[in-house]
Amino acid sequence: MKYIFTSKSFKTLIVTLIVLIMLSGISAIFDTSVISSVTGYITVGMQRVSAEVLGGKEKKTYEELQSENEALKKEVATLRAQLADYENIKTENARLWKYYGLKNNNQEYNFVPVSVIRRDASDKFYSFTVDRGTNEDIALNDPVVTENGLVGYISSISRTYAVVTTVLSPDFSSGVKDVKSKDTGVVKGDPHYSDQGLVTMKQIAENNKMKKGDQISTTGIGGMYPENISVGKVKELKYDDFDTSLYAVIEPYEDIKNVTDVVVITSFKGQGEIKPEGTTESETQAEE
Amino acid sequence: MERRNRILRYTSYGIEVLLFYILQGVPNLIPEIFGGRPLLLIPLAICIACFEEEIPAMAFGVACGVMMDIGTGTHIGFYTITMTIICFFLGYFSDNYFNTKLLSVLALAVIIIPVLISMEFLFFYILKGYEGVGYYYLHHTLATAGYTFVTTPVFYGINRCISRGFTDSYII
Repeated sequence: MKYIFTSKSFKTLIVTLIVLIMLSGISAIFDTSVISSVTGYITVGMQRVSAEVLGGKEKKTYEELQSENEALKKEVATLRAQLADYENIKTENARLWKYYGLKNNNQEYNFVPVSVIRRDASDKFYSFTVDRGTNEDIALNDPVVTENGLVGYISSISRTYAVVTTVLSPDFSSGVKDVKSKDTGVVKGDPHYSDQGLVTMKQIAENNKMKKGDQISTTGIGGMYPENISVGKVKELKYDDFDTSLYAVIEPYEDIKNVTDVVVITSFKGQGEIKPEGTTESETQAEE
Repeated sequence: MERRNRILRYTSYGIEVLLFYILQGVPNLIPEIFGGRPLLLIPLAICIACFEEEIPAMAFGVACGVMMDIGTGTHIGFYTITMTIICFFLGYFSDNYFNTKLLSVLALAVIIIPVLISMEFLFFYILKGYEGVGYYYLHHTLATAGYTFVTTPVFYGINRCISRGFTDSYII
């Protein structure tokens, strides 16, 4: 046993560890990793294909699959007459069409539609990887949404892919308001609720008028997320077991744990502007 | 002949690592059980290390660790370092002190997997100061560890085939 510590191979282990620790330190200090970029170039294409082929669809029952199969057979018969790339164009068009309403209502948004290509078991609080990076003008902290509402933000980025931290993570934090009662608070992920796909809204006033089912949307304060992006609806109001503070459990409109297509908002009006507390973007515009 | 077999064996391991790295991250492919999904590269690295000497074992430990770290979008770090050390010693001990059998691999995996995943939880959740992570540990992390352990026999089988298929002593 003692011979291992004097062996040549043990010296190799020590040298390897020193190199790895140095690499780790360099990548952490300069916030970049050559290895992850290179691996990204190699694996992103394969992950994109495997995500679409293997995992992109939800699990369905036999009956559902049978009826879907029948419908698809009819569709195939029709499509045979079409051009070879028709299906791709149609899919892309359908994907973009979902975001037409979002763009139409918010002309100042610039966004990039992206697909989820990786969900790792060791991802923290259901974060995921998307198939676009800095090559598409996506930047750190850009908001990520779907037509149903807020999903998260870009927390790590490479040239060809980016990692999205979702609203289910305690790292996520955004100013929100109850659309009906105008009560404000901060929405955050909570480890206690994240596996159920729920988030919490904290810092709510004691005399609030919030009710179950109320819609919660972003305030735009802080300049990280645009104003009036839906987050979810109030599921219940509760008191914290430890400090007895009031908080609301919010059910996001989007199924964060299974979402497959999202949009990254690369720029929007008011991005990076910190507004005084209690002021929303629309109020700022009215003052102007 | 020996050199050719070694190259074929290492190439097979390399393909295996890349394949399971991709499969581990395919959305909705592996079903969640009790809120957890398996980390396939940990039992894979353990099994490869048990069939190899310390240096190649360490090299595949580095490969699996790097893949695990960058798979979650973090810089190389925790898994790279820990799996390098673990695989080195697994390679050394399996070469000198015990025969690589399913039972011995399972005995090692049942200790290494929960310890490794719990250490990651300690460094990236508890020390980071998240509140109420005890619930998350019980309902997510332990399930992930259990699910990961259950996949070990599969990797043992695959790597046993690779090891036997491309080792001179097994060729008659």
